[in-house]
Amino acid sequence: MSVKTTEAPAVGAAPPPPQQPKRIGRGPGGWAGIAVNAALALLVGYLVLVPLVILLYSSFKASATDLPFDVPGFSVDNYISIFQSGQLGSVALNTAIYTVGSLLVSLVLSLCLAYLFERTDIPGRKILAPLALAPMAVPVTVTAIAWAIVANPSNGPLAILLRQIGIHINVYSMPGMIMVMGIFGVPSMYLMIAPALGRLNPELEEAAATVGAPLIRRLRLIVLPLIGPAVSAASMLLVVVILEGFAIPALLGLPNRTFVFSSLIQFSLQPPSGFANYSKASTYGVLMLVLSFAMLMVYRRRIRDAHRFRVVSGKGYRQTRTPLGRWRIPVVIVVAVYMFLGVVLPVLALLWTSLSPYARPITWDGLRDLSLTNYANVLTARGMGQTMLNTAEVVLVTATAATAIGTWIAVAAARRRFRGSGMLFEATSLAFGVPSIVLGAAVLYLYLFVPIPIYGTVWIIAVALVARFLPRASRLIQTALLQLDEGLIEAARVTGASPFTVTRKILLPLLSPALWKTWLWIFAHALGELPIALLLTSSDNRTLVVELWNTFTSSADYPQASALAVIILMISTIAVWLVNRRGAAEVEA
Amino acid sequence: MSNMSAQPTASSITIHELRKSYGRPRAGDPSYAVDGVSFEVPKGQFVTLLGPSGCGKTTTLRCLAGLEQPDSGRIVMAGRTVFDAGQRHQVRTEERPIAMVPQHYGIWPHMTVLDNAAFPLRHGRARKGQQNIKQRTLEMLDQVGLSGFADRWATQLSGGQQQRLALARALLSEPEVLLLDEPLSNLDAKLRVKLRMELRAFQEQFGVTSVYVTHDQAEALALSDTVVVMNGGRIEQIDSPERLYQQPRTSFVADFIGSANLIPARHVSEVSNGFLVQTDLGAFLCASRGQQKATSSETGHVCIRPENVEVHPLHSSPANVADHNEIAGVVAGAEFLGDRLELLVDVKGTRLTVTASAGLSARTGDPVVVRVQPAHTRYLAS
Repeated sequence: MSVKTTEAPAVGAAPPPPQQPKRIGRGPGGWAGIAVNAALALLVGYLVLVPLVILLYSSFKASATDLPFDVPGFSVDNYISIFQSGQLGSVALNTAIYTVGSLLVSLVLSLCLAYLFERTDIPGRKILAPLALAPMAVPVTVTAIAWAIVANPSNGPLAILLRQIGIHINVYSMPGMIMVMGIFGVPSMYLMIAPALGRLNPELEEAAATVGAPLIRRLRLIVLPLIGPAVSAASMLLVVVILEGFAIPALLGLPNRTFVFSSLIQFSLQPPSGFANYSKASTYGVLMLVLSFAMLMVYRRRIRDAHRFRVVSGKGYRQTRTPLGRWRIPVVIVVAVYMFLGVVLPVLALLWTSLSPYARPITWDGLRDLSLTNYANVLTARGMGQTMLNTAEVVLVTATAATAIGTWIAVAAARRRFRGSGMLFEATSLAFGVPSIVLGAAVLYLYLFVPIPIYGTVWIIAVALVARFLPRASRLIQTALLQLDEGLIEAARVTGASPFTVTRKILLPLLSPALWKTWLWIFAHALGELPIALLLTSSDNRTLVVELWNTFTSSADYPQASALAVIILMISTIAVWLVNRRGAAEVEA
Repeated sequence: MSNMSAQPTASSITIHELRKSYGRPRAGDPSYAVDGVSFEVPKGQFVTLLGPSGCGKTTTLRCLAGLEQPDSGRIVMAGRTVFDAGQRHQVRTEERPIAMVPQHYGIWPHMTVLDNAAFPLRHGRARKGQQNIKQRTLEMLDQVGLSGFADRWATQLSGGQQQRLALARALLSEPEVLLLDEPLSNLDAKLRVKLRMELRAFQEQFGVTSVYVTHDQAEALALSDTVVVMNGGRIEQIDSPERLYQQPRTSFVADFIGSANLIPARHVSEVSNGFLVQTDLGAFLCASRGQQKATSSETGHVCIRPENVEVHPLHSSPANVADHNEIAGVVAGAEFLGDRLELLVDVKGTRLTVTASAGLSARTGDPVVVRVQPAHTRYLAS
């Protein structure tokens, strides 16, 4: 499978603010456009801003058990108690270790892979390079469960394999969380680093080789500094992703009560005891929001400086590859082993367990009693039809609504036709900095206290997911717009066609591959998005991913959970495959 | 739609004092891409905006199309004011009576050749009441030699075919004014010459007023009724191709159109039949043709075209050389180009480019006399 979802670099980056010429005449359609902009501004504000304000409001209402709206007056007691408790320190430390550790794992792995695949003559690139990106199709919740199955100390195949050579591993630990998150972060990071390495003119490295610098020095002194901007941008983006990531720390950290910010917020709101601590959750939510925004600001600043290094890119040179010499075979073996352990084995174990009667190691003997019983049980379980329907509704509505709104926002901002378009676009990019667990909590607070009767329905999940994916949607479409030849639009305008006709007949058809891609991307991600669905779940609006969480955490039925995970994985893989197939078709056209 | 019927006027386009700057001009440092450009295009004429890149020619064209909004000035098109900064009046692109052939042709890749060409009839400003759209489009495609390609995807056309399709599309919208933005610049040299002849033939056949932008002086001279030479956002000269070549008004024009030897003037005095210009190489008598009289303090250049220089081998001593329009020099380089001989003649350290007949036997180091007729010597006040 060739994966080419270029999502990461564009997201959250500040577009160069183009000079807006003042328009003398405003056409008859102008006011309608401004009205749509105003309506969307209200909508975006309603989807993102209002929940966050409620969250902030709740954090100033000190009471452990009461609903925040029932508490009179304001106080900073929540903050005081959190800063005085030892928990903040340990959670912050955990979060820091988890974030830095995962980042380092991702960074080292993706740098090595990107350099090997882009710049050296390592054999088998055509198979191994796409394999490095293949995990993009696996939702993070499925990844976490797959790793729990493959590396749990009692019967995980990997744990058993390593025990034979005297290594004991336990995935339910901080090192386990770090390894899993680190490996999960590789594809998105690889996607940002590999193009930078591919664009790097080999002459720059060859020049160092001709004066006698050995490989390690060339890497350290020439290659790394030149791809520095790409690496640091990718790192900061990944830090935002790690910080807000919920499934891995929750599934792997909760059994031994290792909390990070995101899992603590969910735990406070949905504790096993059943008594939610709203003030604690909201206060931690505010802290997490501040942290995430700070990271995003740093990232945007870095992106702005990145153009300084543009000189290193260029065309018209021959792609020569560094020979690995006698290390060629050992290196490819190491890479292949990593690919097997990090990419293939978890999915394999997931499949194996989903076909097995109980959780057990992978053995030849086990082949005999593999069956589809788990799938049958899962699919015929009571309420499964409703869950499927809920999931379909949530995912389809989210993908369609986010793509439609995102298209308007991106097109309006790029064409600068209506007042406020640029501002609207910037507003959605701020929403990118809201961690999904915080967004989910904020939407939960809003609908708990504002009597709009969508709480408990699939619509509340769809609303929160639209808010979550809107920034991505408008960024993806904006990237496509930037690549569109402006002359094609101008050629239509000079024939005298109305702006509406130009948009309908020329702009949207030309954009349609990007629109499809955006839709499928959101489809795949909305399907696997756990924290929002989990926080907003009730008996009537369960989705597949929540079902998966419940099956895995409450009933600990590994085979059934695996079957569910495989079902989600298959749907997601088809969507991602379609995205990339369209990407390939675009290249051919 | 707006009323497109133009009142019969002599000029199809009038541009008055057009100014346009990109970015915000700071106080005291106004850098204009187009700086006070005024010209008129008579109905049915083919006018070319010519200049080096960055001279403001494309910006001027885009202002005409309404794709850029000028900072100041006025544009009248087919008797209708389409832009007036003073009155804050701007007619939008889609309501101007224009058609355009963009530099990269603007051929829509998601449509067939026929759909591309028929777009103005189906969706353009004159879309109401159009009959027989398909048949008329096919006729036009036939005219530009694309009739066999009507059902192909537009991306399957070659560069030259795309250019023809863009032209067909533009002509089908029956514009008052046809705007062409370097439409030949992406083609190879031979095709360029062929299509440039076709282009002119179509323009004459349809009688459409055309404004053409190019940086290629050969194109401009070959195609145009009138050439507007621009430099640094300003107009250097507006003239017919012949006059532009023979009577350049500034040293920029002389240098940009064809090649020219420009000799700095030291002193200029007016005589009965022209100017007597003292230079470091000697004195030149320059015939004045419709030129303003010059004050003696003025300096400038003497312009001599290489093909207007006569070269003779010097047999006798330099003393026999006449006191003006004749100078002695040494051949510093000779290139045989088949039909002619291109010489570099060194005169007191200044090198003149001279085109001589192929039969002249001149070698590097030979002493020669170069001579120019006053009628071919032009004084350019700077």
